[in-house]
Amino acid sequence: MRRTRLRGAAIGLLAIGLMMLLVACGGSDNGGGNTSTGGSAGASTTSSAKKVGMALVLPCGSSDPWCNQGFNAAQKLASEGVVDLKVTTGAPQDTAGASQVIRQYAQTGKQLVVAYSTWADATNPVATKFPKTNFATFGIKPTSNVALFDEPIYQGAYLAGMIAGGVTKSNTISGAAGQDVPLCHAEMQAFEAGAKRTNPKVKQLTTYVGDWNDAAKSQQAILGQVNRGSDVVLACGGAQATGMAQAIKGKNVTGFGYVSDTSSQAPKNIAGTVIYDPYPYFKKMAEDTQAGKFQPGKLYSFGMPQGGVKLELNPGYSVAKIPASVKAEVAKVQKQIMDGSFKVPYVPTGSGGS
Amino acid sequence: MATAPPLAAPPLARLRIDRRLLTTIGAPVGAVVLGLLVGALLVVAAGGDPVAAYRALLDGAFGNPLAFGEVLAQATPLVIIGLGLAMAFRAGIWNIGAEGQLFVGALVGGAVAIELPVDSRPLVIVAALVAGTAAGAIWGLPVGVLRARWGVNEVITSLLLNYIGILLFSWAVRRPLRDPAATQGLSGKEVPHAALLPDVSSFSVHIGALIALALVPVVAYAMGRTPFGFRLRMLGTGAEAARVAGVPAGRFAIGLMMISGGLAGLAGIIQVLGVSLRLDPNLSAGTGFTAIVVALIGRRSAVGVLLAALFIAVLQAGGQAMSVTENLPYAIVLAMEGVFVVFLLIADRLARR
Amino acid sequence: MDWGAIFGGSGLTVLFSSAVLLAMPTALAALGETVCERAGVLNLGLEGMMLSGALGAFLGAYYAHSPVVGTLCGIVVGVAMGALMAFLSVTLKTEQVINGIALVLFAQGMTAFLFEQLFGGEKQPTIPGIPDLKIPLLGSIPGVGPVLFDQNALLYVSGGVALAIWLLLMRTRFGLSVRAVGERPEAADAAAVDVARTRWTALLICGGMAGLGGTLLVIGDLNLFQPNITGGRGWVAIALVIFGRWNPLLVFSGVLLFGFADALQVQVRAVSGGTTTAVPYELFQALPYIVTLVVLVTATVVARSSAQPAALGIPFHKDGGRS
Repeated sequence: MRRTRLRGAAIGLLAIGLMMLLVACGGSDNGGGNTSTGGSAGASTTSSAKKVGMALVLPCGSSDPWCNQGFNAAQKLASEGVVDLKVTTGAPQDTAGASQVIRQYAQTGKQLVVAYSTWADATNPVATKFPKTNFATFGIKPTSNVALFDEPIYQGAYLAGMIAGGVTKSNTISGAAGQDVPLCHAEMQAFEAGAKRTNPKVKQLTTYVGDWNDAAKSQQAILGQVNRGSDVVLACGGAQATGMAQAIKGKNVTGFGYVSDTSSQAPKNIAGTVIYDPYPYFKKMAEDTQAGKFQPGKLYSFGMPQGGVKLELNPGYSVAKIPASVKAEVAKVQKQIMDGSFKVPYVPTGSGGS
Repeated sequence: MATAPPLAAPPLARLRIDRRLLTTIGAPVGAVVLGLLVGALLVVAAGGDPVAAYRALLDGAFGNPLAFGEVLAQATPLVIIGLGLAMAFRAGIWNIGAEGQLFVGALVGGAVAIELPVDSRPLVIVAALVAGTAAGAIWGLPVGVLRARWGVNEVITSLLLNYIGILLFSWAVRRPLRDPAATQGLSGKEVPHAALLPDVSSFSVHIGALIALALVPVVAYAMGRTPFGFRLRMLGTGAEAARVAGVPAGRFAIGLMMISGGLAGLAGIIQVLGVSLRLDPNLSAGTGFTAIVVALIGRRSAVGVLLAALFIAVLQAGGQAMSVTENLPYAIVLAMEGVFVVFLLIADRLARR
Repeated sequence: MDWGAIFGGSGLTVLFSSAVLLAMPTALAALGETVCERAGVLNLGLEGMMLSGALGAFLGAYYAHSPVVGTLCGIVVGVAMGALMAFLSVTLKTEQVINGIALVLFAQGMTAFLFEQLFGGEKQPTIPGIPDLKIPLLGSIPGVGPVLFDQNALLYVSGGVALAIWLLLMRTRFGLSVRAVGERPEAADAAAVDVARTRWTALLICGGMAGLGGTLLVIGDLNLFQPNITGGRGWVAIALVIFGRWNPLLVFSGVLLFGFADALQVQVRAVSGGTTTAVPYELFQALPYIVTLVVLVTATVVARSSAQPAALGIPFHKDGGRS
């Protein structure tokens, strides 16, 4: 038995030792020097010509609709020469792993580290260790050097609802969301309110699937809604959008996509997408970092007037014809939202549905 | 030990021992080399430079105290769970329900930390740790009883209880223990400041790592030098031998399920108090399953578990750092981990032949 | 709550179609698992096999622009994973439980890496699906027609395969060897049945079935791939093999039963249109596990027969020794 234990020890040691031998022979490079570079954030503010060192940590692959939006926005910023960008895709699912990736960016001297998911738990402990680095995530409350994104997609959903009210023949519309969180709740409520504006007879079915990732199940939920009479569907959640595209294609009804334009999945059926564009967020965060105005952390909020959210219509949509009067009304309301004379009601909680 | 080695081994036997020693060392070395080669291929496929990548991996794991603290933090749950599993596996009790036991321990321990109306920091922490451990043990208990009393396959029952435990946690953070301030996702309540595990100074690691390290010699002693450890091995060699030696197999099955479940629960509550700081649905992404592999690669021995857990943690934490500095997709780390696990299993087998 | 909307007329049709569609990928994997467990190999790598099959199917269909090629690729990749499991569990005789878990870790890492490597930075890639196949006349029967005879073409293939597995296991010589090897490998060996070869074959079949299950999800339903797209279906399948007491017909009906329960809760919430339902949906998700546990315990405690293959999980050593 003792031999077994010794053997175990030998194996483990050999394994680690060998790895060190194989790769460390070139000599460890500047690991130690990097630890203190969190402070360079302050230094770089003096020279405005210098690019902001930005890191983007994505929770999914960069072809995923949610991550693709973040990826493209950051790339755009990089191509404009505002930031010097590094991206990690498909970061660890667990808090400890995500935290390590975020920490690594802080340690390598990035000035702005964007954790592009609901990663407050993973970001905050790192932020306390690197007080001069600026962090941003989707979280609960900002701290001194962690700023938060908001995601006011409900504003775009209101316009989508107005169109839904115009194109529905059954006067029944529906929404499918991953979970009953304020983000989706507010979007569903705004969709319904918008639809009632153009069509007071509209009735809305809302389903919270209970799973952000199961596209097949979301598809079945939406098929159930369609069978119940719904002919316009709004998705809140990546898997919900995927399931919706499949469901509305088969049933030839109308749908509205989530966050990223996926109308290629159902080119004739998707009337439009409530786009969430993090570009203005990234841009402002980079500028604030550059100017030394990032801290203390705050909530960055860019709704429709600031270009963070928009309703993008799909020109290939051909299931129904959007009535001209509705189009005009949408254009009018959109203008009012843009100039601030109309505010879409934000209803984050409460008993939903009708 | 049961059998003393012969004083003067005949030359043939000595030769065989040498050969065994050779395979013992050679097989895992071969596995690691092969793993590194396949890993290098993956890096090349991803458009990276393998030498630079491995150097970045090592630098990310050992480059500075913070980095090594991260390795220790990620090894902590693997060590704690792996130790319990090593004991259970050694006696032939295949508990594969660690992931569920971890979540149940996190839930109950976390709830205690959140709801307990006590201000004393040590008291809250100890109460939470005890509650989490007890909850994990209780989650393992029915598996042991069913196996001991009616011979129900523990692999199956512990597997089934995994998902029931995880879904229980999901429900709790959606309903009774939900943090209403989370607007974009679901999250459980925050743990009060008084219940958070303090950090070990100069490392970015909480004292849970010390608990894990302290457990290693305890388990090594229990397994190697006590009647308990002897009976454990008896059970592992076969039910018949154990019965002849008078080992109460049923009581051991129940006890080992509770010990391994309890340690998984302890790992869960340590993750809550030391890493996530709240009832976090992303507490673990398969830590309980990785620990099963750790227990086996570690040859079901305490020291082996520690080394195997450190190896995996170096791969994970170092890999996370590597993906950052070398601009590689993080999935490459998961792929490399999978490759290493398969090769090490094969090597383990060849060495034992 | 308007129950008529769920159980009346077309509602029922939607419910059943939905149940079949949700259940079929799991059913195929569960049948494959039944074969290898009957042969005495507890394959916990099922989720990994499904996931690999799903990616294989996606890549095949994407690059060849053909769902048929995709389906074949999905099966082939599944079989390859079955071969890996067989090499570890049968040839090397390492612990089956661990091999299965290692296989899942391996598959999750590899699929996520390959997918990101091939499609990173692009828009979500999609593949051509298989059209629904409406069987003339039969498909027009009200009620049953649309459920049974107006479904995705791949679903019919799957149904046929399911039937074939039952025949293979219960009505052929090979099936007899499989069952013998799982119950009393020593006796089977004495009767000149090659235990290792039989288990190898069983695992290849299991891998192929799991691969087909993943394929059905990708090609027959969603027409795209995402990391972890199988979402734990492989684990449900393992539970339901036990629920069905290792009998292919019972396993198949068990999967359909839980598919129905799942579809029902999805439909209830879709139709009720509210945010709150009295029963938490986690309970529905846990249902297959809870019911299986209850069935397993009741069967073992009350009926004193677990129906479990006697040699399940035990490697076979031809010389009779255990290492």
